[in-house]
Amino acid sequence: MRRSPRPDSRSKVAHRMIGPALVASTCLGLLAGSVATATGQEAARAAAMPADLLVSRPFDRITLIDNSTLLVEPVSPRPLPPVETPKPPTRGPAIPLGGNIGLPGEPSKFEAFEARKAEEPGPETQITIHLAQEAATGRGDARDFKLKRTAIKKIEYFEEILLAEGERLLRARDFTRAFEHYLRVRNRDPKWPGLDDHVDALLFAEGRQALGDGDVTRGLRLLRELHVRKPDYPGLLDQFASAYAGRITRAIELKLYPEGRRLLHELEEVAKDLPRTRELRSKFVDLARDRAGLVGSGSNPERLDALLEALKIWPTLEGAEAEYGKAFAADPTLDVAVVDVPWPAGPWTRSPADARIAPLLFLPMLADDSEEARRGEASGQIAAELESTDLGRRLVVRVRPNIPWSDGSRDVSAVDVARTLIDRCDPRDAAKYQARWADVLEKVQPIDEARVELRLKRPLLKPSFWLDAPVGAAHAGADGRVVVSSQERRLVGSGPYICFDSSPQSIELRVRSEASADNPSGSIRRLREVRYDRPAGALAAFNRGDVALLAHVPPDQRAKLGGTPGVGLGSYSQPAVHVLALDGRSPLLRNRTLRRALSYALDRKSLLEETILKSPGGDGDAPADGVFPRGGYADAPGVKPLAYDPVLAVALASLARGEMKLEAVKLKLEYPPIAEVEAVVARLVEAFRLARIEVAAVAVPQSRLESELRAGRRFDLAYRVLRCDEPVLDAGLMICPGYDAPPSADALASAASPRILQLLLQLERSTDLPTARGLALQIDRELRDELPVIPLWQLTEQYAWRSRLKGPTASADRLYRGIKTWEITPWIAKDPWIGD
Amino acid sequence: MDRQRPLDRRLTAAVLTLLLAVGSIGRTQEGPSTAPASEPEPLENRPYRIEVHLASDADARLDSGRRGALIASWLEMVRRYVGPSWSIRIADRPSSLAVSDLEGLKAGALSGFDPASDKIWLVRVSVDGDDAGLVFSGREYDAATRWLGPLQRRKATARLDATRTFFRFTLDLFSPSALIVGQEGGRALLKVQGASIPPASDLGAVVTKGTTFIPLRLVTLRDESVGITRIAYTYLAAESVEGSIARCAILSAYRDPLSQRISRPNTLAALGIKAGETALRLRFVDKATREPASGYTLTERPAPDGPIRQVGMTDRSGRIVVEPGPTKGVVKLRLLAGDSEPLAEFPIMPGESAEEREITVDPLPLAARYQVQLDAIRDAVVDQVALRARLERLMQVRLEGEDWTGLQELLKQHDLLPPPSSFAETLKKLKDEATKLSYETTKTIVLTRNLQAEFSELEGLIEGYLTDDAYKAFAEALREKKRESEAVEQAKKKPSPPATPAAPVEEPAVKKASPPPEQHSPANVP
Repeated sequence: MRRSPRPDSRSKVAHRMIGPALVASTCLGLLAGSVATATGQEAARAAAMPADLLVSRPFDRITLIDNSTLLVEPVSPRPLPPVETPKPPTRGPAIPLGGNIGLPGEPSKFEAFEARKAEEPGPETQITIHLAQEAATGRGDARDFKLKRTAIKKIEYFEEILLAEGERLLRARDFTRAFEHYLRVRNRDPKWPGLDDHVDALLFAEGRQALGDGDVTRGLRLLRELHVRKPDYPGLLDQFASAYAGRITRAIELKLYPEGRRLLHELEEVAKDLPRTRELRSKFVDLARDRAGLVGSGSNPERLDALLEALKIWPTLEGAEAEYGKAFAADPTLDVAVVDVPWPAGPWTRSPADARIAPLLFLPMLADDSEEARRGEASGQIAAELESTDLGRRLVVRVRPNIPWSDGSRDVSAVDVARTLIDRCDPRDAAKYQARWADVLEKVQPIDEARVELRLKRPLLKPSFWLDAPVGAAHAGADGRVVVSSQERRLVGSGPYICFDSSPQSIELRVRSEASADNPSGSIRRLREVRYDRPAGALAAFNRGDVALLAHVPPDQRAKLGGTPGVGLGSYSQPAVHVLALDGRSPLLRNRTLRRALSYALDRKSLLEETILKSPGGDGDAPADGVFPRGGYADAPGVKPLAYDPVLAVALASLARGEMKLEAVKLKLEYPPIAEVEAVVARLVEAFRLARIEVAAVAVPQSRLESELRAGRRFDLAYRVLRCDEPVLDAGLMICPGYDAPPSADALASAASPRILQLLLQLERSTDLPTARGLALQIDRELRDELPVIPLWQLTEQYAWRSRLKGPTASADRLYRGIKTWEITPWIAKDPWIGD
Repeated sequence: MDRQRPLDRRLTAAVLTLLLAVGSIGRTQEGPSTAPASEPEPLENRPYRIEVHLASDADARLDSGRRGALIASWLEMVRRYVGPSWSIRIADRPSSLAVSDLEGLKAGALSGFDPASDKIWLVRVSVDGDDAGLVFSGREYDAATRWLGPLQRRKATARLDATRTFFRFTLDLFSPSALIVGQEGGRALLKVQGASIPPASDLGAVVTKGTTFIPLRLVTLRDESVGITRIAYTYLAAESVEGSIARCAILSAYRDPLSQRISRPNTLAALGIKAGETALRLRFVDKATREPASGYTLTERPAPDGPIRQVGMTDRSGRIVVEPGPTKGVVKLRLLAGDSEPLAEFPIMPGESAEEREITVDPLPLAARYQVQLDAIRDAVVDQVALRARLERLMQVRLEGEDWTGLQELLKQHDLLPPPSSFAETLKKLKDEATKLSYETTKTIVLTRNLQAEFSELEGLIEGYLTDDAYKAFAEALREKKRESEAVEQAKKKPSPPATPAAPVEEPAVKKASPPPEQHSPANVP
């Protein structure tokens, strides 16, 4: 090796240190003196590999023929051409055999020796290198060194080193790092020989590992990527089939048939002809066929369910769709996705789910507050007439004849009405007890089979409010059921439907045989409500088409659903008011300062628009300053909105802790798992935490939460979603959840503000509507300062239905209003690739 | 006209009158007695003649032998610990009343007992269903005052402990009788029957410090019969005992409960009372409409000045149950409208009776309405105090850091706050309105003492905490700084005089500015 003609006078020391390696390799004796002074350690240091190849500067490693190694800046070209043996030096032109003296007359053959200009040796023989790291400074060396190719025993390019390191990491299952090494090679030269093979190996190994680890989605994604790159990769298809088979089997076990079919479709795209693939396909078909054939002799609804399930397993099952159509026509079935189902169902209304279902199972005494209803001209009620005397203190209800109970034992009579009204005064039965009714009722007496006399302590503001509760059978037990067998107790009702099956997850109603005769064909004969554990599950079921009606549309999904073809959106006539109920029996929440701190801590507008709506609010969506809907007669004008002031919240919380001599305020927030509530609860907790109030959130099914709160159970904070039909009558329950609870629960004390409780009790005793409305206004006005509840916001509540369901209207006071006229057609969700 | 006779004679006469009245039937049957009336023994020396009716349930398995043994050992304990102040007679055949519903028993049912006895003890021995322990329950009937004491109950967890439990039970059952002989320094002086009889031990003392009495008024009616009425919501708690005289604090809902301004001849007596196990049942009603006073908060505090505890809230019928708490004595109950407006306040002893008492109250609707508005104003004032305190602290920091821009911004924020005068004006307007209404309304009180105090407190709060002094000081400091800056600017524009010696450097005006007055943190708000 020769030194380049660029002497660098400033680095004699460095020169001395790298010299030995170079001298030894090139056998040049010019630097022999330096060799003697250099140490082996220095040489080793010069050839040390960087610790991290991903961040190091690129280098090549050259092993010379004396086995010493050099790290040099990447050589060029890459890779180097094959080594060429050096030719012997030319000695000038050769003399021809006939001599070079020409004959006379011939041109001279002499060629004068002309030294040819020395050609620069090519990379086949010699390369120029720069040391990647100078021993003295640790930085790159700018000097050129010429190195004969023959002196090189081995050269390892940086790309090869990276690939080798990647391979090592691959074996160590550090796939991410291996990928990064390959990525660096790709960035340097995408066509580097062997790079693709390494990447393929990595995809295969990582995909296989992910499958083994249970991360099937990732594993399949990697294998699919490999399949795109190299479809014939050894063992890939088998691996695919094995992985897909596991997922498909699991999907079948979990009854996620659409997902299973999608996976099968993916597998078929890759390896349609594999025996394993064919097996899986036949597994679906067999399963569907088995399911369809299970109820050959069952009732039509059972057969319908079996066919529906079979078609859900395999939508193209031969002949099943036609059979399903026939069975559906005989028993049109409406599946509804709901937030919660009534559990247990019975002749009572203690939760929103009860309010939805009870009118279908039990007829009320009065259907509404109209004159027609009082005269008995309204349909769907028990009363044939309501007579009011003694300035409204005496009511006589005449019962309609020929309304049979669902067990067929007898018709509804005065005894049933009397028992229902008396049951609501029995504090031992918390499910039915209604403290306000117990307070107002003086006496109930059946006059004869068809008439009941009610004596009241004061006239009722709206008789229909008290008389629209479900009427249960007097011959049934406290739960409204009669014994059918040793293991079965059946709910007895008088409504158009009977409860066929009920569980905490679903409830199935079937139309009564007497009622079905009047209904047109195609009208709903079966109604099945299904509760989904996660709000997203209900929405997904609706989107899949598993259910035709969605009882509650999450506010942030309104626009999306509204724009979906084949989906109708309807609004409930009253908005939902969201509040945090407070239990005044807790000394903490009895503290006015703490209640104010809780209120100040909430930025209602931001929470509403950013978290719940995810858009600016519409007309019916706004922060609330009370419990009554905006724009109603009970919404007091001029009430200042509740402010957000985190500084005051912190100060007031600190003051409250001082007043109560507490180190910390810890509360429990119970909330129903409704989509918008789940979305916002974490932010509420965070807002309270910033105000130094520790709140632990716990999800409780809505029916359970509401029924327990209404029974007077103790709590700290409860997120409630309220709907107010008549403020003067609903105010108590909206502000104080246990307002109608038995006295033993001390539920009146749960009103966090005694002043508001006083107003509620005055409102309860008021006998004329103007006074009552004035009191409702006063409650709304004073509620802002007294804060017996923490108002949050009000939202327009909506429901959605598929176009195959005909009948729901754009606005309704309750979900199943007019269900008698609804019609539904059969429909099976087809896989999107079926058309292909 | 003082219709009071000497006190000793009064009691004696009353008791004798009573005894004569009760025993008149017997005497009528036996014919007039010819024996001369002997001089009655002084009250303080007279032991209590107690007739014990000890009955037992069958499942108590107390046959005559065991019963006799129990009584014998109990009498021995009485002798050892109480001494001669109890003169006990065991009824051979216990009254059937002892095994009846003791809690529902009325005093009238016991009028047929021997008038020679001072006290009739109806004791029932039963078995506790849970652990089969013997339960002693009973009530004391005071024959002279025809007063039936509260139900007492005590359980012996082991049968071997039955005698000792019975003895302790009888100590609970026993209530001393006394004569109110006068008042001194706001205290009632009671001469207690048997108090001069030396007790066998401290346990046997008839009256000790802490013994509670209820006062009774014995009035001689026109037909010479004696009417006995309890002076309602009044208790006498013994503070000290000197000889036979017990000096008692008067705990009453009335200003002068032991008043002598009675038209008929009367005597004041007192009967000891001990809290039993029964809960106190109260029912509050509106005095004008007789509607139940529902939804009001009831608090209690042990008399005279114990810590306040919330009892509960009256239900829809105005009822509330007060369980005997750990105090086991007289408590002051207070019924509140809203959170602070007292509608009624009276002393009572939970456990003294199971009978429901009806109490009429004025719900003070107008006062409650103003109370709410005052609370709202107080909230707003407290918020303002907190906000101002925070701004003032921030201004102080800006001032110390000479961040004049920041200070100016904070002053602008301060300007946006409502002025203190607005709160004062609102309060004044509210007070004027309430005052006017109080003149116009006669049915109910508007400006109650509590409301007036709250008005005054709120005025003080506004004056004391909502001031602009700090704001003015900071604004002044900022103005000074601006002036100084302008002066420096002007000085720079003018050519400097060549030879004048340098003027001494002045301290910045802000440093000279007087420090802002002491700030009030929100925690100081009362």
